[in-house]
Amino acid sequence: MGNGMTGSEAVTVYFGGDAHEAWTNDGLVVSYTGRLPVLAVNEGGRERAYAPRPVRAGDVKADYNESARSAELAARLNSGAVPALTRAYFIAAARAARAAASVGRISDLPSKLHCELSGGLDAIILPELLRLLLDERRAGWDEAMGVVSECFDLRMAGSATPGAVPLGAIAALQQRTASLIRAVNEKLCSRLWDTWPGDWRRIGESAVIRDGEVCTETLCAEMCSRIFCTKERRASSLRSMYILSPARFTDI
Amino acid sequence: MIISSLQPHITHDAASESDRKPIGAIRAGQSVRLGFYDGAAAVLDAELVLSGDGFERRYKMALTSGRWYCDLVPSEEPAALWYCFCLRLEEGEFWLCAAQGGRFGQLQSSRGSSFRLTVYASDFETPAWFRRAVMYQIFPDRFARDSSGTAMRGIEYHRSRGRQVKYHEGWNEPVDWQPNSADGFYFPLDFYGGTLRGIESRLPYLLALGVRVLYLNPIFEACSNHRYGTGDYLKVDPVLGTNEDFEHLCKSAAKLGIRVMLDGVFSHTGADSVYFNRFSRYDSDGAYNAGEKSPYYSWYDFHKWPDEYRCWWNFPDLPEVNENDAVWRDFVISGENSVVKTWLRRGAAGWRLDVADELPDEALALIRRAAKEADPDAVILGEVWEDAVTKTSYGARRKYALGDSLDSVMNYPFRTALLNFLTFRSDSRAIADFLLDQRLNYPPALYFSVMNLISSHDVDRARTALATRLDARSMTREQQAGFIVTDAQDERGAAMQRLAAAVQFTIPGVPSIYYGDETGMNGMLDPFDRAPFTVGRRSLVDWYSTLSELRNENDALSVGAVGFSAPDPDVLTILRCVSGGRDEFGLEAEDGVFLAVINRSAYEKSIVADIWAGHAGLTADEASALRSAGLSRAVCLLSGDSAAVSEGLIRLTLPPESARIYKLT
Repeated sequence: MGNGMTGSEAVTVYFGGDAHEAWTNDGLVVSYTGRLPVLAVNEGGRERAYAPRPVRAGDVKADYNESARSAELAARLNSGAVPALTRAYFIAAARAARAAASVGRISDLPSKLHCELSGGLDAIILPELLRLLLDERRAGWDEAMGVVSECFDLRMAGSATPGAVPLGAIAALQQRTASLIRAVNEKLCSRLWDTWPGDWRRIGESAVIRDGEVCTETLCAEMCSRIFCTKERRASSLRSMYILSPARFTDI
Repeated sequence: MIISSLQPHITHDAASESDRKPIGAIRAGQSVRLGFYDGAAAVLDAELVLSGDGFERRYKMALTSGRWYCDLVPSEEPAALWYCFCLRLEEGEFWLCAAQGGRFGQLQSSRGSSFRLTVYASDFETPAWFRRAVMYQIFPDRFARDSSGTAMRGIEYHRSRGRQVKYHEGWNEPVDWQPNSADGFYFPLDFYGGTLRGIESRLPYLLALGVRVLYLNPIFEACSNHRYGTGDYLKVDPVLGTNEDFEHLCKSAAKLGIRVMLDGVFSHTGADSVYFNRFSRYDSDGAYNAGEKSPYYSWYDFHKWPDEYRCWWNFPDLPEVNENDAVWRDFVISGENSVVKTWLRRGAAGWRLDVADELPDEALALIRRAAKEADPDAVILGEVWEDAVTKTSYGARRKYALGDSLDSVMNYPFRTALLNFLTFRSDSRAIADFLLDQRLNYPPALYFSVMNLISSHDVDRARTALATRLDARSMTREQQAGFIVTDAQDERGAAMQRLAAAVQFTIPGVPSIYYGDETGMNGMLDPFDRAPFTVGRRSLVDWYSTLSELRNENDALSVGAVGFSAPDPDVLTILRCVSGGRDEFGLEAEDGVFLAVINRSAYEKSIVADIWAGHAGLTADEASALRSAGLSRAVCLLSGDSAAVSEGLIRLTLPPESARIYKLT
């Protein structure tokens, strides 16, 4: 490996830039501009960031600035000098990319990648994996959601206050991931509307996106196949989710 | 145009005390707080716009913690009112109007529908016994014969007066429906000979069914089998028996705790009557045959005596009366020996008023007063087919539901909503919205007394409607006569009727069983819905008895607070509760919490019922009492199923086409 990398195979994690969604005869095609790539290598169970080798090494005008920025970001990721969300996104995106790359059929993914989420910032892996399946593996929405859902459980042991992350902060990291969170939210709100039509207050209190912030607990609860939580949690912040789909809940 | 971006942030919920306190109808002179929530802080100024018939008033609203509100006394008089909110935003003027069945607000750039606000008479009360009763409606000619020869003597009496009546020797003969008059119309002259003594002989059966009040279709002398063209208000039709038979029936019923209500047809009489006497079959000086010398002449409106007169829906057999005529009022309503008072003294417990829409409010109020004078516990029940609060007739808003006249109305809108749900023309949200609408907009005294029916003598039987999913009104009489409900259809109808009855018996109001519904009788429209009492292919007597027993034994199911929820398009839940030992009217009642769950679908359903926060219609205090009740277990009183209650949540698995009534402890 170049750049002194050792450990697992490197996967590329992209930061920032713009996503361009275009409908073609083959469905939705998403292209990106301005993204900053960082290589992720799992070393002893810890994701380490590296700057990718410039594609056109020696062509300073073409790639140098981009490479320099990647290197700087990688250094900050490794030193912990980035916001927690950025670090969480890096880890999640690397993990998702590595898992997705390891299977031929996406239906095999749950056997490769099955883990529990805490309802905090680790929730970011959900829309990121969804993005990979939709945009890069060309899966349909229901299929991709089904696979993502089977890969993850939500386990909430404590009674910590649910995490809230500005949607704009997620969009700054990965615009398309933020778009997919919006889509998940709209579908959830549609189901909430079906159950409590017109009750905007209940819908608003139960949505993934609330006043521009993403409730990571609700995002997990909406996208995970199984939810392990206390009765108190189920009866409070996850009350509406429990009423919508009680079969996914298990008391702890 | 709907303003979608702000819509979720500017909200009003007419069923939430944070926006409207108190929720529901209010007494005249009572204050109410109306408001909305502005989560976007987008509203610069706001006015409450209150409107009623012929007026509109605006009230400035104040802002506190993102909530705009206004305290006001909407009316010192009973009235049907409406309100909405006029908002000033940076973008200009917008309106927060009623949507989603009139419960939730919707932001619009132009004025739309308003929220309802009912103001009822401050002294409006209804008899407490009636709110707890189970009713049984009997079409007297078709319920039960007796062996005394009464009916045949009555038939001979009518024939002696020249009436062409027919007697069915066989109880199981089909009803007549073919045209039998010179003008080619069907006239209901066929009698089966049911009698008052026959009814009396069935009192033990009715008692076992849990019935507490009988409503008899007209029993007074008349030439037709339905007796809606009264011939003599003061005499029981001889085919049915005698006045003494009626008094005996009432006394026997009273011993069993059953009361008897009569059907008063006061907007018109029969042309063949003591009072009009068109065919001179009576010895009286009728208005038709004696003209101005008749003591009844002023009752009627003759355009040109004797043949041109005002009559009910232009049926010459049913001359309309002038309810403002003092002579008529004295005879029927106000006199010491008026019709209304006389029959109450003879044992009746109240009156069902035929075509109440066509009686003036003033006459209705007088009937109420006269009845209550004779018996403070007497019930006045009106035949009303639409929303009783907003009903207009002859260009005027009717006020009979606001405390001045009717204690109760026939709840045909409930029948329509329920059958639509159970025939899949609507979903559970639609019926939950409907039920909540009545909870919020009917005066409580009326709401807990409405006659919740699914069949009557004027509509097709519920079994047939549910079995066939047909609109019987789209069929000719001949088609209806020839229609056969198949066994598969009847099976389906029975399954759905079980659910219909479960709803009937678990919502506020008086559940009414139309004779023969409990035994599974089928029948299209009149006259097929009036066939002689028989046992159909799938009797539900045990089901109705059980429901009655539950209702009679558990105060919360009759007089408890109520909330509604639709956790699934196929599932309706109804929550009833009494706490603190008092019912909705402050009367003593046993504490209890019950949850009725109806699954109409052909599939098993898993749902979560939210006891604490999921049922609209409860006040904040009622919801708070539920939270502090320490509920931990739900046991179905019908099936024995049980489930845990945790933090106000119950996870239930419902069999296909099932009804469950859980007692929560």
